[in-house]
Amino acid sequence: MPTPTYYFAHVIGHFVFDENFGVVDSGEEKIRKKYPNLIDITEQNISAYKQALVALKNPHYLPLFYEQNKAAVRRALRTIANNDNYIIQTIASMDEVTKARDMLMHRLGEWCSLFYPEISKTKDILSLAVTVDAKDAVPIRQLTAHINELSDLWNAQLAYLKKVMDGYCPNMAAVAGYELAGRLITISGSLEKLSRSTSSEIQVLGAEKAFFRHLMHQTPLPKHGIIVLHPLIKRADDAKKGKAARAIAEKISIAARVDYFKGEYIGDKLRKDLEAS
Amino acid sequence: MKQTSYYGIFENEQKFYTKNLTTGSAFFNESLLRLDSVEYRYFDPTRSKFAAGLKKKMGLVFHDGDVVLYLGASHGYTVSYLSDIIGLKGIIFAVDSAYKVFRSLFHVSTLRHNVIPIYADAAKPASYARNICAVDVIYQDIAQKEQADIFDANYALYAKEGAVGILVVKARSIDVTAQPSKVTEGVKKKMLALGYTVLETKMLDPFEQDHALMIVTKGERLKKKSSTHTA
Repeated sequence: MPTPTYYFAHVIGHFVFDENFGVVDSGEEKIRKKYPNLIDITEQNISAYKQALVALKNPHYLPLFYEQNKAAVRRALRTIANNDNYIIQTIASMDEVTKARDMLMHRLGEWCSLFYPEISKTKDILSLAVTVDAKDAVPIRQLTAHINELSDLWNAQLAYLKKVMDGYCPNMAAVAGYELAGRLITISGSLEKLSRSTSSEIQVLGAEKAFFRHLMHQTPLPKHGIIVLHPLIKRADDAKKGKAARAIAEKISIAARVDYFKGEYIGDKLRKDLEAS
Repeated sequence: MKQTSYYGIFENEQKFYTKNLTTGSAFFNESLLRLDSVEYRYFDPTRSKFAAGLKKKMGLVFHDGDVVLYLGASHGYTVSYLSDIIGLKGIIFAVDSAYKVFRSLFHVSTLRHNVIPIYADAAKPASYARNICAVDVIYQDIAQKEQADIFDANYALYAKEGAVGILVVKARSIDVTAQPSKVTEGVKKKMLALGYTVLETKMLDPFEQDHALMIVTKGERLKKKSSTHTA
């Protein structure tokens, strides 16, 4: 008579094995209570764990493996629609909109210069209609309209980005600004990863190439990565850029941690500290 | 179309094919060939390192009903062919942690009921300790510097006695500056030090640059149950 000996919780069900790892019973978690003195199988008890896995290696369980794992994947993939990825997608989209707009603007400039060789700014477009045949002005107007639409789109996306970040990482946004904060999240992958980075890592985020060149060929260590977008660093003298980058990275790292662990809003204080130093 | 010495692999005009498990569906724009009411899928050696290994006449033996742990399944190209080979009694646990590729892998698994998607990091095998069963083969195709250690951690938990391991050694992911053959040699040494028997190692050029395929096992080798292949 096989004695119920082991209990094993698995995504395909809960199992009770005898001493030779024959399945005595399986079902929901409550079956554990039916049998006294069961030994829980964990990965720490590697030999029992492996025998349990061998017991489950049976074509009979294939449909269960299939259904349960697919359900687990569905649950996991659902968490991907989160604020981090909203920010990452918005930033990427804004970059692409900018790129597209610049390209169309360039074309518009070329097009207009057919009529006004001296034209360099597209603002003067309104005067076109006077000298250009109406039918030839139509496509130019249409192009202009699209460029304006792209500008509106960009502004709408910025407004959305601000809204998301005000709720999700207000401290980061206050210290670094929306764009820089968003780019830092993009590079590190998520606010969580950013909050786990040291401030020296944040300082050179986005300068990986220079950083690894430093490690391999002893070139100078990069002073800053994407953080250079911060107005305080942009404004600083060349000699002080590294120092400013270090100070700002430190405040950003504090802000990221406060944001990730849902602390109070201290963004104004951090920014004031920064501007004072 | 004739059966090769590899189980489940067919040859026609020096090209490899598998029998399509999902008749009528191609997943990666691969060409489908219909002969005598059987549909075959062309297995491209420049897209799959496994197919490149077959071209190199390596001892890559799979059987009907094998259970495979596939680390780094990516879009599921090779996975879909393994799925053809092992048939509906076999199982492939396809592990990947990049959600960008997971959509296409998930699509493959929707139609192929022997492909089981696991959304996890192969470097943390304990994270799927309650999702899979013991396996006959571990196939590893991941771009990680510590691929030997990651393979070992997975083998320790999930390999059945005498299970075979197939490693795609990505020389450029391990060390960009060193010579690929030296890197492969380093991985081989590492595997030997971890107690594995290295059965075969081959570079995959011209099909794949800077990649090698390595076949390993541990403990007593499985008795050749129907190993028709003699390389």
